[in-house]
Amino acid sequence: MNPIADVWFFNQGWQPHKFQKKTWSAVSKGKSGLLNAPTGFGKTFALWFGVLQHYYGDKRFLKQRERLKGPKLHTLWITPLRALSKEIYKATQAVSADLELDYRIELRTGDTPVSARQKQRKSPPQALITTPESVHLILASKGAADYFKNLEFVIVDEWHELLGSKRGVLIELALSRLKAINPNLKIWGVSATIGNLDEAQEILLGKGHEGVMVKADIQKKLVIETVMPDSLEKFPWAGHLGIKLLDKVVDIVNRFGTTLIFTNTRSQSEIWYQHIINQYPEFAGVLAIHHGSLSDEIRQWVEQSLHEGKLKAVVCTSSLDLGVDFRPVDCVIQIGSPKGIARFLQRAGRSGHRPYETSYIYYVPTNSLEIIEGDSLKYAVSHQIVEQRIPYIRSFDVLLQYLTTLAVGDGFDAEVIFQEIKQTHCYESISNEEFKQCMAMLIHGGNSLSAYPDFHRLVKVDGLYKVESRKLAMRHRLSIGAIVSDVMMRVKFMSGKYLGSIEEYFISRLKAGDVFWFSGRQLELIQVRNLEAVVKPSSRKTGVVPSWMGGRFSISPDLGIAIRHSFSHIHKKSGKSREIRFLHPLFKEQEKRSGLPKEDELLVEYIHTRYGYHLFVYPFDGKLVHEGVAQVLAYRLGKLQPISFSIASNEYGFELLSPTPFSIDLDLITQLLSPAHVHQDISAGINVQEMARRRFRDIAGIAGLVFQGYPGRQMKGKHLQANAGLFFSVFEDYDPHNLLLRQAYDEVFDFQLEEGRMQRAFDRISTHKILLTFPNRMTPFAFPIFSESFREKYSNEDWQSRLEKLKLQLEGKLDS
Amino acid sequence: MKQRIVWQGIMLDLLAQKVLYIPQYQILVISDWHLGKLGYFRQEGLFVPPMRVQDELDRLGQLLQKETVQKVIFLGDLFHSVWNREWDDFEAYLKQFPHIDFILTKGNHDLLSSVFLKQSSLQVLDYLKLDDVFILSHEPIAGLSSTILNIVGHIHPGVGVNTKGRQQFRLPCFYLNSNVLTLPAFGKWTGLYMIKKTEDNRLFPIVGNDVIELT
Repeated sequence: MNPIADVWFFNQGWQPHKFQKKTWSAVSKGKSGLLNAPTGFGKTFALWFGVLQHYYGDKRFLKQRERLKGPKLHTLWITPLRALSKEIYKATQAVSADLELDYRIELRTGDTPVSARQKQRKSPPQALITTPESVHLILASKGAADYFKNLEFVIVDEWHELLGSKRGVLIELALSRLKAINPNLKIWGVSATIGNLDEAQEILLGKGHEGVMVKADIQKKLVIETVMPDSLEKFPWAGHLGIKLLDKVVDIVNRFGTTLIFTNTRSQSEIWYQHIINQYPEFAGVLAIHHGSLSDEIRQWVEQSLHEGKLKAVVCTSSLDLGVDFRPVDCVIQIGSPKGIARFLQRAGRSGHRPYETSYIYYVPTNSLEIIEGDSLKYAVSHQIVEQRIPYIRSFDVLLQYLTTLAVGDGFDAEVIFQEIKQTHCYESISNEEFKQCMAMLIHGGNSLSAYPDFHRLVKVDGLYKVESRKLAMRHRLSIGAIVSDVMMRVKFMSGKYLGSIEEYFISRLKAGDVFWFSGRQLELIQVRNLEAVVKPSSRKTGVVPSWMGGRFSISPDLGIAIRHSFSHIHKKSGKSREIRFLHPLFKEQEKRSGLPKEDELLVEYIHTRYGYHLFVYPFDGKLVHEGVAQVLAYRLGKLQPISFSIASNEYGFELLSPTPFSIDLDLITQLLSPAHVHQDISAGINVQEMARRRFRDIAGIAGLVFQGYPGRQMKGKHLQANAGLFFSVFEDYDPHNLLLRQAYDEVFDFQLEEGRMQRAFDRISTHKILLTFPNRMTPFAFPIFSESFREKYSNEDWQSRLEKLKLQLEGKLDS
Repeated sequence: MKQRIVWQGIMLDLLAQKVLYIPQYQILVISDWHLGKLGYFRQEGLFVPPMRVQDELDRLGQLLQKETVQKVIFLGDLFHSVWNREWDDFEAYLKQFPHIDFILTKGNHDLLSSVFLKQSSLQVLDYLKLDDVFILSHEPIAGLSSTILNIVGHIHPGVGVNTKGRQQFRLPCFYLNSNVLTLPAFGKWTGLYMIKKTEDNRLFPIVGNDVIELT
């Protein structure tokens, strides 16, 4: 059926898997579809030989090929990561070499030099392996439609990873265009298991484009173990570092060949790396660090050494979550809550990569209560609970970027493009009116009524909208993409050696002479020059650790369900898991100081400390929902008396902290938690504006309002620098109906507040008995929440009266 | 309520409108207005809505009504970059006050070509000296005698104030450090550069309608 695959598999001495044969057959029938298979079983080959067979064996295509002068682009293989692109390139290139095929494969990513890109334009290879951004970059060049005219296949690798992000929207848009250029286009996705696979397929293929789903029926063996501290008493109640279990982690590392140690943030990985090296100096040279801020050079060295089995362990972040196989890795350690089941499984899958090998993953809790998540993770995995990836819809920011992309390229006919994007999941619901508003923004710089003569972005030439300003076109090409990052500073030695980059705001807090950890080294800041921080190695004992942005994930709803399930087991007489048995003394302490809620009870604590008056509530509904519920509660309390709160929350509960006392009793708290009028109270009580303002940062960046500057060069147009917060205020003041502004609010309601989930939480709570206690000090449940450093504000006192209070304090009339 | 500081026996009023008034000279000092910023963004192809310039100009007008003013000194960054129509509005507005001298000490954002500046009723200087007591400029001038107060703008100073119950405020402020007094930015669409309170400096955040010294 697939003679090319037969030869190649025979030469390798391999037997194709069933799912590979199924995929070959589907591809040979000209079908599109989605392939769902675990890593390590050759899913790349499942599609690749389908592609090759079409190129060399499809009769209709062969006839067409004869008429072409020279090779044309036949296949686009899109991956979310450059590292993965290289991996695919190597694997597919090897096939062409082994079989001496004239099927040429080339890489096209952000790393590809300009000269190579130009060559790819003049004489295209048969296949380009690329990223979503690079596809849009090609669309932003003249002659793009011609370039893609003979395209037969688009393969989107790790589609589950792209789906829930705006990069997924970039894919949807690119496909809508490519399908229009070539109606015969076959589209295939490759996806790990997620909760909404069917939807994932529909979105990838788009409206009216049929496809098949191929699922590999292969189960990988997985062993999960929670690493327990020796004594619960000495284990901290709060914190996210987990260093206390360092010795045990090193023991595990020593038992295996090569271990990946996953942390949740880049700063955490630096801290872990430092501690291991300091306490176990013998690891020098065989322990490495890998995260997204490090230079390509360092990361490539780490990846290469991993392949060659030269490393004992690597401390890493999500930068090593995806794709690439490191065969020597036989163990994975997860430090702290993985925040999601899919992420946990993905990381677990980084070990035991070979077919039929067992994957080992050790879960290392960072505070006492977190130990219970070990129980939850096992429950989730054994019951096959996996998160859905929620796709973005109506992302006007990406649409504005896309329209500009097309205008920079060949130019576009607005009506044609409107019909094309209506076929995508993301934009199927946008109205003619809304599309017109987008066009008005690009043509007139706002709604067409207030047309402004000094605005130039799109110009109509021969019926097509184009960008004529070369400066604008250049700036646009540099800002294509849906990932918005902070202003980064390059970290360099005096000699010029480049180590990586750190968010500017972190460096700006340091003075010359300060010491910090980066790239696994202790560095002293010598000076800051333009966007470069010049450093030298330092051996001083005390160091500041970079505390970078990112990593403030909330737990997924599905892991939340699993955690609630675990907590419902606390009171069970028998059959308790090891984790829950271990935590028994902590629960006893909680019971002694306050109370331990049963499954149908809700615990509420009111505590007075020197910080103020705290109200703790524990719905066990996940951080996102807690943030919202806390705001509603604060609003309802505020209706009774003027009051200001600072709000903290974690996966288990939330805290309202007020500088002034407020009275609370069982009747009142029942009333405060009532499920009635939740919707009104969300709209009235939650500072949606502030949340939208934060969302707007990404939106402004993607839509092209905020220009990030030329890479590696200091901003030339410093005058154009303005933060998104400013634009947000300007729109709120002068153009409150703006689509981008509305999008910011919609994203808040859809992704942050999740109104539906909140209503369900209130409904559930109303069926519970409320357990109100007045402990005289912090409880084991309360302390981790109180220790959360990130806080929200709530106040129904107007700005003026809050300022009055501040004034009194500043004038020393109110103790601080 | 304004805050008053004294330098060499001369009173300086720090007003909550983010400006400085020196009664002895009847001088109003305004820094970093950044007029024309939105217009500039639009020229560059960014789709921001146009500014309501009149609202901004009225803020100046109200101050001119309230205090007795002979001279208005703009401490630089008055106009954000090259010409756009917001400049014409500003210029026309100034003509309503023929009895007042308007002086600009040039800043890094004042790229307006000298042709426009010459046509305007503005007098343009690098810095302005008032007796041997004050020097007004956009950025601090190095090597001044410590008895001279250098009144400057440029950095848009602000300060973070924490209050009880873990609440935080970010407020624009006047910032006095040895003999340099930095004014907050007057412009509506400007950011803040956060200053830390130390033993050696004095910070005067603007809290609503008041200016209060941080102690």
